[in-house]
Amino acid sequence: MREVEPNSLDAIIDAARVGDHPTHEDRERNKRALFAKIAGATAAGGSIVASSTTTAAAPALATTAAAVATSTALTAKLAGAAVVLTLASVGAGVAYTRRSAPARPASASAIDRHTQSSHQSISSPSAPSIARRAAPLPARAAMDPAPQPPATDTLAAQRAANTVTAQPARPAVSAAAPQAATSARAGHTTRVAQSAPSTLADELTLLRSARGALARSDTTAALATLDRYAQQFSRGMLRPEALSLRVDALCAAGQRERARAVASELAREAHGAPLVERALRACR
Amino acid sequence: MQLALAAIDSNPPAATGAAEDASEPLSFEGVYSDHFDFVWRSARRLGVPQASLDDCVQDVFLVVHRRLSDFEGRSSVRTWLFGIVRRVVRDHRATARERATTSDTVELSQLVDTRSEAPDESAARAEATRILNALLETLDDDKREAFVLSELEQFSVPEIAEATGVNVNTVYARVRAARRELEQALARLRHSQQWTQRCAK
Repeated sequence: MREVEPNSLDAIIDAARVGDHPTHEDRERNKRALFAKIAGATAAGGSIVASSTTTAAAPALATTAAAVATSTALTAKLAGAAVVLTLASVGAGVAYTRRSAPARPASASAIDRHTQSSHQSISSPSAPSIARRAAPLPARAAMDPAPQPPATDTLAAQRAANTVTAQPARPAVSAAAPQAATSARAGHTTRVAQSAPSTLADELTLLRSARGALARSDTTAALATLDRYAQQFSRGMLRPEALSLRVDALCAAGQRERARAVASELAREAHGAPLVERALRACR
Repeated sequence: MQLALAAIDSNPPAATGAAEDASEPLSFEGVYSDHFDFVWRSARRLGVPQASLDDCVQDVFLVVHRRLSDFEGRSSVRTWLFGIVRRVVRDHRATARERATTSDTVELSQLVDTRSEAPDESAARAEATRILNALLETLDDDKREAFVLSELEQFSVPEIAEATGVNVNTVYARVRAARRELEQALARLRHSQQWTQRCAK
């Protein structure tokens, strides 16, 4: 706050006018989610009428539908747990907040096809522990070569449930769903302990890189690195540290509310840790 | 959200005034890529919380997608878009208020960053944005919309009148009142302990 004198409304307005823009990531994330919604609504016979532009957008859907699971939202309170989990699994390996969700969509939809490879590694519906540990990075990379936005909270998966009009889970899966749902609800505290099959050194490398970027005030690079960490180590051993860094980076980037959301998430996951106290104070 | 979209559809924004070049039909992708930033920051400035910002922006473009063929080019695209944005935003904010929980709410004072370091210009801008958004929270929707369009987007007064469906005199009055209230809000912040600390540095 050295360039902008706090005692001038005009100075604040001038600075805010040029300083308030979406990031590339914001643009891409929304584009994927939006086009998936449009295509989904059209395919479902919804009220959104397909235009010629939808045809142009359709190819994008192949790589974007799976990414819907990471779009942020608030509106999925009504989604049934099984449905939520079903779609959460669509984002398996994508959303770092993914709860254990072995269920998979019944249909051979585009989403299903494009997440097939990731499901192969977690396809045992009665073994949520396998799903938790799975970090299908190669599969993920294959199914979504586009830059992957960060998942910000569990609502992302819920939103996907609302958005894509979830298919009912297969009967074989339904028995596992309530179990998984329970685990999802309790997951905040147990998740951290369930470490991903990652190597600590690799995790550290990424986090050091993020910290370095942050030290240079390069919040974009820091957040991008943290996104990469989240993708690669959705159950990483240093996940609390990564979340803490993300809070710092978001604060520095001016995304205060998002920072607070991440801090809250960290507080749920790593209750009592010194990091939490620090994160909750981060933007003050 | 279906209800919200239906409500929006039944209440199209005013579309009179400045002419847009309507010789070529607009493509959805073109509108999206040209105006995503405008829609995004407008939603933000009108007070959509970060957590539902993506949702809101996407809802706006869903309406745009559905209604693009109705756009008659009698107003500028941005004016037309803002008419949609403000309706979607109001709906989102109403929903957010209904669902607000302790963990979701942010106190005004907490919105103002008190970090001691602002190492570069972009951080300073980000901080200015944060402060301004906090200040904007003190305005009602009408004044906020008028102020955002006038001071931040630099719309002309007739354009604002069109986008918000009121006459130009009302726009002038709202912008004036908004500025007065923002100055007062800033003064309150300045006198808070946080400002005292900051200014002492």
